[in-house]
Amino acid sequence: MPAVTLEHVCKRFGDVVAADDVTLAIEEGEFFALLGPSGSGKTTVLRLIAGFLKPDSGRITIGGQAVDAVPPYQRDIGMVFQSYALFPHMTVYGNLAFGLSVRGVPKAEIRRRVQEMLELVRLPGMENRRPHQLSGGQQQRVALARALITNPKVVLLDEPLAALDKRLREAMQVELKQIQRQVGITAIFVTHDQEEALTLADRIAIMNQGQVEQVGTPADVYERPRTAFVAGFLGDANFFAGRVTAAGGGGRPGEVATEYGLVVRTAHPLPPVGQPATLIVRPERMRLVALADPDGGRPGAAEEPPGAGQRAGDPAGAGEPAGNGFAARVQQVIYSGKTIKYVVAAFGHEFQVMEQNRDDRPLAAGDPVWVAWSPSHTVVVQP
Amino acid sequence: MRFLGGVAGRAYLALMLAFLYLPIVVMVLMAFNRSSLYTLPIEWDLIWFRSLLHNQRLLQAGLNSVLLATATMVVSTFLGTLAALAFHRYEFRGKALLQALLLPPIAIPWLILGTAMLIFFFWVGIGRGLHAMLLGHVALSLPYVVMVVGARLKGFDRTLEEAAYSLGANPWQTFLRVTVPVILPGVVAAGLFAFTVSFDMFVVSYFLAAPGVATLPVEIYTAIRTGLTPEINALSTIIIVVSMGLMLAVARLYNFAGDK
Repeated sequence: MPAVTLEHVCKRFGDVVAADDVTLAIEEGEFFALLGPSGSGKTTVLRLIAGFLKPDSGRITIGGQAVDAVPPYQRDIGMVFQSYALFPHMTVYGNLAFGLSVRGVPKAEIRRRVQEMLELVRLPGMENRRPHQLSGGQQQRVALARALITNPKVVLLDEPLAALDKRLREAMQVELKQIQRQVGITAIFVTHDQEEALTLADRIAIMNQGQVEQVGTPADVYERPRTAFVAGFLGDANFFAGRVTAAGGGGRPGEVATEYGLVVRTAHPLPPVGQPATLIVRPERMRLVALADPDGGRPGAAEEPPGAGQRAGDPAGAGEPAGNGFAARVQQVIYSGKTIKYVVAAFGHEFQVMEQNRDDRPLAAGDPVWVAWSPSHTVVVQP
Repeated sequence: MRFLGGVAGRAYLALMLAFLYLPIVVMVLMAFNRSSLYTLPIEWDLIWFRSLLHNQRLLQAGLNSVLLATATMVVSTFLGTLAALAFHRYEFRGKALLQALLLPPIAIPWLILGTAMLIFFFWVGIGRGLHAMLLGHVALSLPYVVMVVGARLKGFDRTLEEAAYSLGANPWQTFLRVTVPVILPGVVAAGLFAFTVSFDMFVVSYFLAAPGVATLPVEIYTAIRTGLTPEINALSTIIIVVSMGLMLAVARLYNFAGDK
């Protein structure tokens, strides 16, 4: 039984549709991310689950029970706010004890549980501090401990790490995931940071303009984005748009004649022949091979995938079914330590290629290159 | 240049302070002077404070003032805090108009308000007396309370209430254990403000006082008309100390409200 479900949930604010027919099922013990740009409706969905907003239509369940008529304080949730929302007039102890004390838990039991939670979030001995005496990371942990102490059915986290600086954020990501695993709680968190979602989540729902564009594991949504938006939001992507010339199947790749006059092959299912199709390739899936011949001759055989010999403007020749490639010129080299990003130009367009920094003879701007990639890394998306 | 600027600045500050406090200082000093004719040098004595203890009229007026100010404080703070919460929390028709209507009672001269209240209270049969004065004082201190509590609420983070709900606290528990404690400095400051407004109020009290029932400012005014005695200086000294103490407390709480 899913821990939390949303069925055809809609919520509008005036003319703005903040949640548009959202249907989700979050499993027991799952760490689930709602990812999207600001204004995509992810926070609205979280607040609908918390009960701070009422859906215009649709149904929400928590722990198998419909919560349409249940106010937030009876939903048995925990929530971590972006601003932490620690009670400023209480000590750390008071903040942690609050949820238990309003439930009438005996004092001795509260004391024991607070100690446990402080151990869990590695803040022992801090119970008499006030929130403003704590660092950002410590406040974050107190907020998390406060949300977990009542053993809620689900914990909701609204951009929980957004207020922390980069290094602390990365450390807290690891810790957050550890604690979630350790407690085994169902957690739903909202973030606009795709890296954070990919790192932390078991599954991710990518939202855009109030709609869920795709739900899947991090590898699913990154490697096989369903739409151009998902592909673009989760990372850099090179786009190829065109018409299907061969549907493929039975071990043979499909083919799309793109606007650049280049035929791109894909191992993934395509629409029928003649239909438009959009293909994306991740920069790190493309490889660059230096070309000796400035006018775009073929690269040396050692660097080239077998059969990849197609040249720009030269449609796939017979007997060369497998690879993708085109000649280009390096436009820009962006060095960032362990990786190097190349911006290469061909057909009057720019493409991005990400290489590991393992070559001791890096390419320079102006170098002619052969860009090569495999049809299995050529993903078909909805435009 | 800088040194000269510093000297000029200090001199200016000293003049300002003298202008504000010199009359008060003179009055306080004279309260401790044995001579009733303001002669110098001062002969230190507490004779006027002692004779104040036997002045039944002034003592009764003082008691009236304290009772009235306390009642005003309680009623005004309660009503004003609820009003401020409503303004902060809800959007409703006429909200802007109602908020704008808070200001005129502060701007309209008290003399005019006092006259208006006197006429109105007679017209509806409320008449004069402590109850009429209470109504007047509440009406005049309410805008201050709404504004002071409202200022505190502006800095109130409503996610604190959402956090309380998410932890299982019902609206009543949330209000008592989160909202009230967080805005309390503002509420206390507003209450002290209301007390001071009532305690220092002369014009409206003068108009609404029934014969024989006076507050301190009214009684002092009457006493001055019949002849100035240093007893009044002694009494004024006490009032100044209490009023300034309250105002300093307000300032402190208010500042506390400002920087959290």
